Amino acid sequence: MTKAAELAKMGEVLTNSQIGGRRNIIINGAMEVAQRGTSASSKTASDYYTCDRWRTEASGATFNTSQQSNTASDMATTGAKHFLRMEVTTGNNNSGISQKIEANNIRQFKGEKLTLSFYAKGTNPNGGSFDVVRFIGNDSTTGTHEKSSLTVTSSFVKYTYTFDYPDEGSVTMTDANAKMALSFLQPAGDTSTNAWTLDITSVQLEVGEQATPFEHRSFGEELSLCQRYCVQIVNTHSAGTGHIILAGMSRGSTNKNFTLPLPVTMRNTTPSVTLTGDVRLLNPEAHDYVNATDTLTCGGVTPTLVYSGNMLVLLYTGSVTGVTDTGNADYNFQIVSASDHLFIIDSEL
Amino acid sequence: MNFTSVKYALGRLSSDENAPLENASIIAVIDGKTWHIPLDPANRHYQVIQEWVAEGNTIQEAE
Repeated sequence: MTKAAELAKMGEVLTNSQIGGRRNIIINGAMEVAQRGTSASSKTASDYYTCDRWRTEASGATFNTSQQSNTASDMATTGAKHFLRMEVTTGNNNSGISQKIEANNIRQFKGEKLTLSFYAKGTNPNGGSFDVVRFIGNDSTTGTHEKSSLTVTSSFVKYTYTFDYPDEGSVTMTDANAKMALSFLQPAGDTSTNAWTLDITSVQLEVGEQATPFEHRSFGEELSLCQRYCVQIVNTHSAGTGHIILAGMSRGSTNKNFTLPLPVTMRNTTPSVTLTGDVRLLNPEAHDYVNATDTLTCGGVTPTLVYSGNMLVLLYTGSVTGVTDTGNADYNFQIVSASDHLFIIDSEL
Repeated sequence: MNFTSVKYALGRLSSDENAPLENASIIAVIDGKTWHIPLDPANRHYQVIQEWVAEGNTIQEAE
């Protein structure tokens, strides 16, 4: 082959292999990030429990879910250190796992072919198969559900599916909650209660008709992508050694604002917030404070949550019982130290 | 999601201290955790609460 022919061939390979640029539309496909925890047992409700961005769908089933570490052999096979395990103890149709891809990250591929690849093993629902389902939807409308069949074995195998960008139907892809959902489910027509397990990792969805090698991203980069949907702040200091302090001030006579800087700009402007452990609202000038446990409600006042840019503002509008009202003064809000105290801001689809 | 308590919380949606208090958020205990949930149809917890209400349940008024 001449040099010119070699170069031409190389160009063709590069084009057809799609190896350039950011390819994987899935976030946390290697199941590395698990901010909420690494296991959850005997669950009956759909929610996000372990690996970030991966939602478990209960649909009447009872299940355990966990982030698992691969053996050296399986790590060599899958290229991933971890996998997500969905262990259904009592099955039902449409139970499984899914990732909801926000419209901003998928709508530009309308009309394109998409290729999904992943490694999976486990046991099949009712001895049959799983459905690999994708659809476009928002809060009230969905396009056409399209699906493929998946039959797993007891060893990790790479599976690849190429399909058209799903039918949007009447969904407006600029709606706040428009999305494409990609799910691995017990089939809709299978209502058996038999147990099954799905172990899955290295999930990649990319534009084109070829499954390219899994795109590895650094842990920090993957975490940052996950934090667009969920930020967890953990006070890792042991009791009494270091509170996390949010600066604040009063405006007027009773209003108090506290600012929590977030690591990234989150998906929507109205996330939900939960916390575990003690918090404290304090007037340093008056040397008085009030504590609360597992809630932001302090001294009878529940803050309004105002999200702006990558800042979450806790706005306490009113006199907080136990804390002196001082006009135009500094206040602070503390996440009291203890290893299990955490603060979760949730903006998932 | 399993709810054990769903209640409105009062607040002022502006920094005007003289503005009337109104339902500004929902405090819900979901699977044992207390969530502060904005009244926004784009919020996933709010959506689930609306489904729960549609099933005949009622959000408690703020105290």
